[in-house]
Amino acid sequence: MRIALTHKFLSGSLLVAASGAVLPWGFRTLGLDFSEWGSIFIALGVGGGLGFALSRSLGRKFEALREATDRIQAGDLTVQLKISDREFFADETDELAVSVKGMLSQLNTFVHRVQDNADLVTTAAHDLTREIENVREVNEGISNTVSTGTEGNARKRELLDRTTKLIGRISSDIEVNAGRAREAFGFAAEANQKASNGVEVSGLAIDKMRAVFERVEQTGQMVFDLEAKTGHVHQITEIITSVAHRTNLLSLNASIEAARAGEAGRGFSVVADEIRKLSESATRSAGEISKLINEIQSDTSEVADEMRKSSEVITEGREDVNTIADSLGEISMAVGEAAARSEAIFHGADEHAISAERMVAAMSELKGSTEESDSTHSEVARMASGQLGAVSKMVGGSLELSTAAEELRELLSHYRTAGSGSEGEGRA
Amino acid sequence: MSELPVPDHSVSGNRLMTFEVGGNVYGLPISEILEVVEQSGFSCVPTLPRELGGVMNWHGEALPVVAPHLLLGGSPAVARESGTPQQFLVVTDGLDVVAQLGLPIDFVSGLVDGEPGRARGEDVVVERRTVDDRVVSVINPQRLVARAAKIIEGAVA
Repeated sequence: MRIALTHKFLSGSLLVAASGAVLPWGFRTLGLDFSEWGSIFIALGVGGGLGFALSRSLGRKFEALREATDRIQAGDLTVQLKISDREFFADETDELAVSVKGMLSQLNTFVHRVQDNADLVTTAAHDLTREIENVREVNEGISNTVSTGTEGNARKRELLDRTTKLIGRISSDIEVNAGRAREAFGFAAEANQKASNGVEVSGLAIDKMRAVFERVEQTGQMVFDLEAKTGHVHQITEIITSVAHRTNLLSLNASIEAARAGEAGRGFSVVADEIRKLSESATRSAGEISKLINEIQSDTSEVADEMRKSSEVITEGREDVNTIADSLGEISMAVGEAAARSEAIFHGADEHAISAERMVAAMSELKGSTEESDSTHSEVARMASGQLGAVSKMVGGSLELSTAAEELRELLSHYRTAGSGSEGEGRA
Repeated sequence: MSELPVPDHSVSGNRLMTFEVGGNVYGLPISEILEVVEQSGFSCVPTLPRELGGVMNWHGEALPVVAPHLLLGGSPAVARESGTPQQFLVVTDGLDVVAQLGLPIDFVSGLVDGEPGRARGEDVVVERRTVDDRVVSVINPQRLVARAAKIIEGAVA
C-alpha cells in the first residue's frame, strides 16, 4: 500500500496528538494514575519512535539511492537497486528507486548499444581505413603504373620513331631491291633467251663437232690403211732392193765369168755390165724409194700415232661434247629456273614493297595511336593523382573516424554495464 | 824376193773389181776373183780365233777365210750380228783357177778398167790410183794369198 510521505508525517503527527489526548483517558479508564506529563511523555515517545522508524527507513532508501547514483556517476551501470516487494508503506522514495532502476536499465541498454555501435564503428573504421589504405596503395600502384606507362610510352614513342625511320629506310631499300629484282628479272629473261639461243647454236656446233669427229675418225682409218699400205710398199721395196742387190751380185759374177771367158765373154761382159748398172740403178732407186717409203712410213706412223692419240682425244672429246651438251641443257634449264625464280623474286619484291608501304602507314597509325594513348595516359595519371589525393583525404577522415570511435570506446569503457564486469548492488 | 808371175790380163780386159773394207777402197784384178759370194758369216776353226778367220762353205768346199785387217792392215772390222749376210770375194792366186782364199769385204763397189801395177817389195798393196775422186789400193792377189797362207799356218801351228 502506497502512503505518501506527507500522509506518513501527517499520520504520525496525528498519532502523536491522539496519543497525547487518548492516553490520559485510557489510563484513567484503566485506573492508572498518570499525570498529564506522563501521557505527554508517552505520546512523545510514540511519536519519536515513529519518527525515528520513518526517518531510518527514508535514510536507508536515500542512502541506497545515493550510493547507486554515485556508482552510476562513477560509470558503474552494474549497480542493482533492490526494491522490496514487501514494503507495506511504499512512498515516493520507492517510486524514485523504481524510476532510478528503470533509468539505469535504460542507460544500460543505451550504453550497451552505443558500445556495440562504437565497436562496430571502430571495426568499420579500421576496416575502412585498411580498405582505403588498400585503395590508396592500389591507387598509388595505378599512379605508378600510369607513370611507368607514360614513361614506357615515351620510350615506345622513341622506339616507334626509330622503328618508323628504320622501316622507312627498309622500305626504301626494298624499293631499291625491287628495282634491282626487276632489272635482274630482265637480265635473267634476256640470259634465258640468250642461253636458249646459245644452247641451240651449241647443239648445232656439237652436231658439227660430232660430224668432224666422225670425219677425223674416218681420216684416221684412212691414215691407218695408208700406214698398212706403206708398210706393204716398204716390203715390196725391200724385195726390189733385194732383187736388185742379187741382180748386182749376179752381174758381178757374170762379169767375173765373162772375164774368165776371155775374148768369148767380152759381149757377155758388156751385158753383165749393163745388168750391173741396171741393178745398181735399181738399187739406188729402190734405196731412194725405200728412203722415201721410210720417210713416208715414219711420217705415216707419226700421223697414225697422232691419229691414235687423236682418236683417244676424240673419244674423250666426244664424251666431253656429250657432257657439254648435257651441261648446256642443264645450264639452259638452270637459267630458265633462275629466270622463273627471278620473276618470282621480282613479284615477291613488289609485294614486299607494297607490304613495306603498308607497314610504314601502319607504323604512322601506331605512332598516332601511341600519341593518343600518351595523352590518355596523362589524363589517367592526372585523374589517378586526384584520386590519390581524395583517397588520402579519405584515409585522413577514416583515421579521424577511427580515432573518434576509439575515443568513444574509451569514453564508454568508463561505464561498466551488466555482463561486462562485476556488478554492484544497491538497495532502496 | 823374186817377183811373182804376172797373170795374163789381156783376155780379162784388165779390169779391177773395187770393194770397200773398213772405209778403204781396194781393187783386185777381176781375173783372180772366182766369185762374189754373199752368205752369213763363216765357221770357226779350232785353234784359230774368230777374229783371225775360219772357213767358209763355197759350193761344198772348205775355203779358208782370213780377216781383212790382217791382210790389208787397218783396224779390225766391227763384229756383225749373227745371221747378217756378208760378202766374200773368192780369190785365187792367178796361177790356177783353184780357190785359195775367202776374203770378207764390206761390199763390192764396182768395176774399173785398167791393169794392176807391177808388184814391188813385199806389200800386198802394189799400187794406189784415183778412181772417181777416191784412192783405190790395188792388191796383188798372189801376195794376198801368200800372206793368208802364212797367217793360217802361223795360227794353226
